[in-house]
Amino acid sequence: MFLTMLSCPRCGTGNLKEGRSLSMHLTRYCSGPSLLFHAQRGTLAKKRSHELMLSGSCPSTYQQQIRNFNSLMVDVSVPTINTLHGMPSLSHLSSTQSELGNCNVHYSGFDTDLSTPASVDDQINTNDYSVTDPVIEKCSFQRNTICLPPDIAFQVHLLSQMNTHRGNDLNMFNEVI
Amino acid sequence: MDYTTLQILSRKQLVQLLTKYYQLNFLKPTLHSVPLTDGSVATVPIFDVKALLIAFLNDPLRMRQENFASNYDIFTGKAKLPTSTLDEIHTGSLWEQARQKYCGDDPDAFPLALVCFYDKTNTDVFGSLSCAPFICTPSFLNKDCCNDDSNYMVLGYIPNLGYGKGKAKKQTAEMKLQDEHNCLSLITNQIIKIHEEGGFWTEVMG
Repeated sequence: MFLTMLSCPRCGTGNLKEGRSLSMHLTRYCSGPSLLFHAQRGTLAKKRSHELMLSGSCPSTYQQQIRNFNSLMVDVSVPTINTLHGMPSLSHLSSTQSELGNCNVHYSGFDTDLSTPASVDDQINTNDYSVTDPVIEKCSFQRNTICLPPDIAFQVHLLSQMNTHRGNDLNMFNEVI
Repeated sequence: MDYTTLQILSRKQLVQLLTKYYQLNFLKPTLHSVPLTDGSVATVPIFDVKALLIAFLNDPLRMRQENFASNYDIFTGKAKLPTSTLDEIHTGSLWEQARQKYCGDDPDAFPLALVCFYDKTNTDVFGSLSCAPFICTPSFLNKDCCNDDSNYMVLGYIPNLGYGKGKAKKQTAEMKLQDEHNCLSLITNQIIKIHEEGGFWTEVMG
């Protein structure tokens, strides 16, 4: 029985038997150009090599990630006003004057600056006390102080409803909204 | 709802927005690195116990008379009417001793006992993704409210310390237990600190 010995058509090396050994070489060991040879070089250059992923392309160490997580700074850079808010909605246009008067949603009040003390409770903490006076600590949660815009309120309600169904995968939150 | 003007935020953006405007930063856990006896490090998320207790005690929806144990005065820790029935926590024989020891007859002392629960829970079907939440609820709530998870306060999550270690006995049972207790001490030390500082001042049902 005679077997034909072939060299690899891609890399030109090897003395391979026809059939399985050639296909094994092509799929596993061949270093020659593959079908991606015809792809654009820019596309290939954007891909990370395995060494890059292992060596230091990770943005931060564990300690840095923990430090970033624990930092109290919350920089919310999301736009709170839709560019379309200047245009009255269809429901607004179709509402009567009395219905609009009963509406409890105020867009203008949503962006009020909460950094300045506005309530009596906040002023208590800023006053000077004598040594013996106890400092009464209160929860910082601002209950019923902000009228959310309807689109934000809708999303909060949706998340709340989804949260009541215990069988839901928590990853669904990220997919729906 | 008019969907033409609907502004959709991602979940992360929405949570950040609500956190900022409702000032809910105290609900964010802090990550602590706990060195383990095998040389590795466990990252443990821990919540601020004092902030959670104040949030509970200042919550008018939770601090309602119908949520409290029957025949119990939450400000004194004593039964409103003498009774020999054993049902709620304050009717137990050790309750009065504990109340007398820690609160005595101080009119400003608010007896606040915590019922704590700690057990491992799985988040997948394989058992590798698991953690052990440390949960507590005030003892002045009645039985129905104690069973309601909306009244739970999660003080921290202890990660699966045995993950990836296999069955080879590189650590003794004492070392494993010590690792777990080192993680738990991040929570219990907060409670000890509150006690050693003489508690905190806050307004309950004001």
